[in-house]
Amino acid sequence: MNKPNDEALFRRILVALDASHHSLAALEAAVELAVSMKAKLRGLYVEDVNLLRAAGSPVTREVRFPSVTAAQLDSARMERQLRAQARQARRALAAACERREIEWAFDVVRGEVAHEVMAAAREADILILGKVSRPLVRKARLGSTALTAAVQAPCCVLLLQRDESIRPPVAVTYDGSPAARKALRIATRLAQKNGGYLAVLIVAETSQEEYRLQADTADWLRRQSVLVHYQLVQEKSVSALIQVLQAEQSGLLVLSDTILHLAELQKLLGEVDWPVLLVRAREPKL
Amino acid sequence: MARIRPLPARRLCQACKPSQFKFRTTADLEDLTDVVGQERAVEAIRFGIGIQREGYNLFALGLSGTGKRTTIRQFLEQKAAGEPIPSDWIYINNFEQPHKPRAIQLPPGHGVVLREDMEGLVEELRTAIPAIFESEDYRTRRQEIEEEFKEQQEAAFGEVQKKAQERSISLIRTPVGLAFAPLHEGEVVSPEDFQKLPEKERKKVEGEITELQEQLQETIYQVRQWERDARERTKELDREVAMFAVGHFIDELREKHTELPEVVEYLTAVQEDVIENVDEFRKTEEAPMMGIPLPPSLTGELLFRRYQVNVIVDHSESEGAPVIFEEHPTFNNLIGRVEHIAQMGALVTDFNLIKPGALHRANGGYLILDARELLLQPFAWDGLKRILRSREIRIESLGQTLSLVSTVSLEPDSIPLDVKVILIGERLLYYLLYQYDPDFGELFKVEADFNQEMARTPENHLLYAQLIAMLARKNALRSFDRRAVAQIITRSARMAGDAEKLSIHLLSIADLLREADYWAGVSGNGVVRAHDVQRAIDAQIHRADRLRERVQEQIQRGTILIDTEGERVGQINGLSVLMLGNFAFGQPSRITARVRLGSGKVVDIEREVELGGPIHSKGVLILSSFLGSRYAPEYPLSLSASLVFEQSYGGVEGDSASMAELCALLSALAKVPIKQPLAVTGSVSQHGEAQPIGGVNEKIEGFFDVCKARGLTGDQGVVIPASNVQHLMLRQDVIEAVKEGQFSVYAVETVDQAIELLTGVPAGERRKDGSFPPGSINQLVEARLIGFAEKQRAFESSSEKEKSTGKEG
Repeated sequence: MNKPNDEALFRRILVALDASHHSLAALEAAVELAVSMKAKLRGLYVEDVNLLRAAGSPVTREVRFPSVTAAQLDSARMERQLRAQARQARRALAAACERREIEWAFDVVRGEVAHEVMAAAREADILILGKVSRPLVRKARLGSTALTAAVQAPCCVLLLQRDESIRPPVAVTYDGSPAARKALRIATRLAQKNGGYLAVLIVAETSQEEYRLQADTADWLRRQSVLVHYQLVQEKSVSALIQVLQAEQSGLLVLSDTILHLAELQKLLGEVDWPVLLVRAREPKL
Repeated sequence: MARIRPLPARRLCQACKPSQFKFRTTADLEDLTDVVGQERAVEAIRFGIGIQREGYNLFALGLSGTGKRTTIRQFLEQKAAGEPIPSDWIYINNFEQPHKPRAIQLPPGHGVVLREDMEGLVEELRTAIPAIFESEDYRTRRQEIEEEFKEQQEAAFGEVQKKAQERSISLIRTPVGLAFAPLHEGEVVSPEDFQKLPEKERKKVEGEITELQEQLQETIYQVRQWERDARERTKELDREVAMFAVGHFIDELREKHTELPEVVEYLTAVQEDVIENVDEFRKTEEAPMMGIPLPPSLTGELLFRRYQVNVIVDHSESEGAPVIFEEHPTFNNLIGRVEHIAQMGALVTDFNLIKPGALHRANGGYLILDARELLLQPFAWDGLKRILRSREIRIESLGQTLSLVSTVSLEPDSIPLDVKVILIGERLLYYLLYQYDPDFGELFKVEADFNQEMARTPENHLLYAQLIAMLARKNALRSFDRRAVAQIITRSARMAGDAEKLSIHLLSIADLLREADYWAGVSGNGVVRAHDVQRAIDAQIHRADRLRERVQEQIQRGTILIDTEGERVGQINGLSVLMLGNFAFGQPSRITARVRLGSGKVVDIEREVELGGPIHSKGVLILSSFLGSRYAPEYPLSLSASLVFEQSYGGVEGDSASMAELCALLSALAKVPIKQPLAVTGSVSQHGEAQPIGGVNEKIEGFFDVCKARGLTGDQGVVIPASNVQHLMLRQDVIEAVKEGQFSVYAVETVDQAIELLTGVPAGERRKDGSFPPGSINQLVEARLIGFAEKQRAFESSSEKEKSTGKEG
């Protein structure tokens, strides 16, 4: 690992907003990241076309909270409500960005939510969004949009849930793959901004392998003025990873997409509370 | 009439003889066991302290400095030491009505024990409760409840969702709720596509949606109910766990205080409250309120204040009943107060801020107060009376009573009162209170009247010596030798102004002792000797006698005209006393009288210009009456006389100059001169008897000083009423002069004796034929008055004649 690492890692940050508490946590993390990376921040609100369709349907009935009364849905009202949410999202974004003097933009598009977000992510270096929107069950873990993003997003994805933020210490997985190298670079950069401490989780099945991977990173990390702590993860499983992360009291996990399979990734995201930043080496095939 | 002889020197001063004492110095004497000279007061105090009835409080009255406070303290401390120690009192939180703190009576010393127990309990609970709530068992049980709810919730919604899915209907989240919409190939069917469906299909979908929606509503209600249940179960669990944590500690305390039912009851209330508020104990760190960091005293600690015990009366270290002297008897210092703490700009309070007053501390014993101090403090007297009447201490703030402030305040339980109050004050205050305050007599039934004098007997001389010995020891002074003691006793009689009395104004005596000790120290004496005492007396006088010296100087320089030689008609030396602070001195004044034909009036010039007081005027009116009735009673009194105190620019009060005034008047009428080397004092009755006056010693000494300065001739002297002889305690230099025949003191019983002495002419007694012997003063006076009357008659008849001829003409 000998490439110098001075270039900004993220220039364009996309944050998906829907005015929920989880999306506000995402916004907060996005603003912090934009400040430290001197990046441009773009907010996106998607008017869910499914909602509009449902509202237009004569048979659709809505059960409203908190009164639990049932009523006919109506398109005009739905439009108004979506506009109101969009305005709320925009206000939150504008206030946060202007306070921190960040360049920002805000777009409202209409369509299928996951699809629109993925489309917008093509023009971003990182997509930040809440793990869920407004779950029915209080402890729901992973919404459909977040899941889609985790699997399909063409860029890095940072997933957060309400009341969580990027906080030290930063942990990163490393298995020697190109994605892992990129993840290490990003994690190092974030660690420099967040307490200067980095936990490197070497994913290796043999100690030889572990030794090799550790040596691989050591030289480069020595020059990065971060305090590094190595940990070994012997198998590529969710439980092994969670065990090590709990021991590290991790605040942010930077995970390269080579470590876990889809199902395991979904399981991990469902189980951990702390933010997870997924790093991809190259754009996935859609 | 027998010639009046001067009084022999031995009658001028009843000095105390050192030879009557057997001791060498006061170090040989024992302390007094009783209070000397205050038999009446002591008896009253014994009675007042002994009687246990309502309203039998004491008022010790008398001049300040007569030892009231010391005597009463001494008595009370003796009595109180043998009496039982009263109860402790505590205030505790009233968990049902926090604004009405409860008072509990505890055996002496128990208050502090309970306070420490409660502090220990809170301390224990603050570690035990978080520990038990952090335990694995508790967490597991709690998670169990939460998991169960979550599962129920997920299952219920899952069922709805499943049912919807089976019918190709999607459950979607809208901005304000949930909605069901028909689904086609994973997407919500658009309205247009829906309309294209056959009627039957549409109806079916609609029916299904309505059914699902109803089921969803029910599910939501059900979930809410489960949530409530879960919360209730969590609370129940908390209660159970808290009960387990608290019960053990409380049981231990209940066991310890088992013989005090009120405490046991309180502990049960504490247990209930702790369980109710167990969350407060679980907070390990204080969360700032609304982001504003609060001072520590107001956050966590404040919550635990309600389990504290406010020991308001603590007798853990008392021996016997309390004797409290409250120096500053303000309303609050007497009955206690409720303080406040400022919290975020508002004043708040709780039962811990109840502060006791002197009445709390004295409850079950004795409270001594200074009457003047008490009356000077606003509302203190009324407050004290109210409490003595109701026999319970109810703490009320003045602001509340008068509706001046209305902050949050408390109504603490009242505490039953059993106290004897002893007021100490001047006589005037006692009599004024008695006169004007109807409650006073009811509440202060015992008066202990302190004398400032005692009879002078040989036994009392010895007691007095013991008193001196005791005071000397108490004040850590040198011992006084026999002569010094005798000197002090002589001085004491002089202070009493009476040869047969001794002053027991302890303050002045103690002062004299201290000063004599000082002078003994200056002269390097190991014991205080007579000349040290004399020096102290002289120094006291010297410090105070600037004005006396000035008056004497003015007399010597002739500014104030006083003759001490020769004879003058209608002019006499009177004597007056000036009192400045506690120093009195005599001053001679020239009194003159002039007479002429007139309408029978004796004009008192002092009174005319309102310089004379009513008693002085009374004396002068007695003179006119004496003249009118004694001389030529058949004739109208046809003189006009005027009397004046020469060179008097201030007021004159008292009748002690009336004999001098009468003698001046007689001299003026008889045209017989008065010997100026003599001075006269004494009042006179309508029958011409000489009556005693006050300050006789100062008056004689005042005139003596004038004569001495001019040179004693042997003719000089003072005429005093015979009844004043018993008061004579004259200065040593006066007595020396008398012994050498250079100065005389004459005692007279009647004005006749006085005028004879003053003129050298016999006064003359009325003979059988009704006339006075020719040449006597009385004969000359009567002749003059008859002359006036006849002239008056002649004058009146000639003027009447003129009137009638005038009419005729």
